[in-house]
Amino acid sequence: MQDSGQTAPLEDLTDEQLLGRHRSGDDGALEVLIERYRLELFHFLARFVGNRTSADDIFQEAFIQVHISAGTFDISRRFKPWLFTIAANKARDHLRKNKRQKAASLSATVDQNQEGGRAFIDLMEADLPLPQEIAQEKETGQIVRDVVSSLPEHLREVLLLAYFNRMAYREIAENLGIPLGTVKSRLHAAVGTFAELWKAQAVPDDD
Amino acid sequence: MPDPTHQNPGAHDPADKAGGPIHRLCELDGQALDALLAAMASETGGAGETGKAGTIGGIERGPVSAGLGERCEKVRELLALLEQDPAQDPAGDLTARTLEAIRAHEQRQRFSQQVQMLAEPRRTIGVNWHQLVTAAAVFIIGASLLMPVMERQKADSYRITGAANMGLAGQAMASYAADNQGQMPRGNTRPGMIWWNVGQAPAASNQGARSNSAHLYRLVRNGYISAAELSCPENAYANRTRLTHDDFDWSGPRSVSFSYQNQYTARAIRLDEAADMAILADRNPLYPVYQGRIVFDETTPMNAPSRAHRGAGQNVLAANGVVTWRVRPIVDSFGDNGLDNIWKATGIDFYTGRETPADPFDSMLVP
Repeated sequence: MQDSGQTAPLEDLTDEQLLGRHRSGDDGALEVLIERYRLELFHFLARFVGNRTSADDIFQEAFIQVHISAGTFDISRRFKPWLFTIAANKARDHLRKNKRQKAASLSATVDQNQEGGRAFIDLMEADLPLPQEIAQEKETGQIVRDVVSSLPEHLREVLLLAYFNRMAYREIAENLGIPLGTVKSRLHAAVGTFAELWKAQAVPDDD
Repeated sequence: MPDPTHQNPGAHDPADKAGGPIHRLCELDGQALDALLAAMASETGGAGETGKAGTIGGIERGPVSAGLGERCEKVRELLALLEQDPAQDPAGDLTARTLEAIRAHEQRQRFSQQVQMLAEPRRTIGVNWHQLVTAAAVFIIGASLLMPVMERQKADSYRITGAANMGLAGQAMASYAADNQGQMPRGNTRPGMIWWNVGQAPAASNQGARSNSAHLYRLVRNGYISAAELSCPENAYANRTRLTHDDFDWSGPRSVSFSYQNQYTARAIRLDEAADMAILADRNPLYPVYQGRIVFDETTPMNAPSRAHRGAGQNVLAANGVVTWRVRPIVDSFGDNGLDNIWKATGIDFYTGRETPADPFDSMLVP
């Protein structure tokens, strides 16, 4: 039988127990949940939307949605994937409303001479520059930020969840509601496209 | 039947149409990436966040098959680039602002539900929104017209009740005088003593009262009038009952409703010596209460009306028992001195709480 956590301190409860307590009217439970995901979720959102202010807004919207939908959440399931699903949906909505011209222009710098806009890259032959090898005209961190921002949303999302949030493929599939194979496929595409964009940005053509 | 949760990594993803050109890893690089990420996820149990430099160092071992070591190193180097852009931390008050946003959302929800409820004809017991607004508007307009009238009636009522109480005080004075050789209420006192420390007990039983109001209170103490009768209905702080069995004064400066002729004169006067002299009135405005003590307010004009009736005027009791309503604190002086200001001693414009009337018949009504 699952421990309802009625007597334990809030900090000791699982996410799901905290949500249950929030549904029962415990004012402090949601605060503990928000604080618990403050850094992890914010970092994901800041990298996903590429903007700290927007990430701040989306973070709040996500938890408002959690509060609104808390009654419908099945507490036998895991809270974290649900939270990230909500947050990712909010972030995608935000990006759709604020179409980024920059992304399109950066993507245009890579070779588009492939069938259907899709190609395969072999990292052993790609001759990717290391950060210390690139010209110092632009800060490396800024280049990486621009490159990540210019990745298509569906690729950027899986890359961030897999790398920074260290989610397993199955967990990402659960979060995003997509098949496991699609997660894998998107990750391969995300890393491949990242490599090409990095190369194009770090070593710009003289032409 | 194929497993719908699995898809060939090389298969076309419909979402790819959304972006620019897509580059996929070759099969071997893909295998290396899968192995690295699986190792990372298993390190944290599939949860947690990295972003710290060097966190994936050494993870090329483990599930990576032989022959992929060099590719894993390439993938690791590539992924390590992501850490060149460090995470931006949220503002410290993000949690507090999020909770506040949730509360604001709830308030908006409640408000919109109320508006919806009001706007819904079936839920307003047969009255629709427009009718409700019209009724409210009529009520507000009516109330705005009625309020001044009601306020005026209330003020008149208080003024009349205050005058009636003051008349009872006049009768009580007369009874007291009849029992005390014609004198007005007056205890042990002498000129130069402080007279505005309302509620403070004498230093010793044979010492004089420390407030003028204590002399007036002798009427209550000796049963000539009740504490409720010796008060103004406008005074919210008035003690309406006797304080204790052997009390000597009102409990504090705000409790005193009326100002009484200053008794700190060398000679006590008889009530029948000065029939027209003002001896009691609504509270003197020159002595407001500040931080629980009476002070002299030199900014208040000497001829200002009492504040008891919202600055409209004051009831004044003469020694002959007649109560009159006066807009200004000026009365015909006893004798041939002309007009007398009942708030002040003749010739004195600054007060320290020890001043006395210029002569026994100079009206100087103080708390």
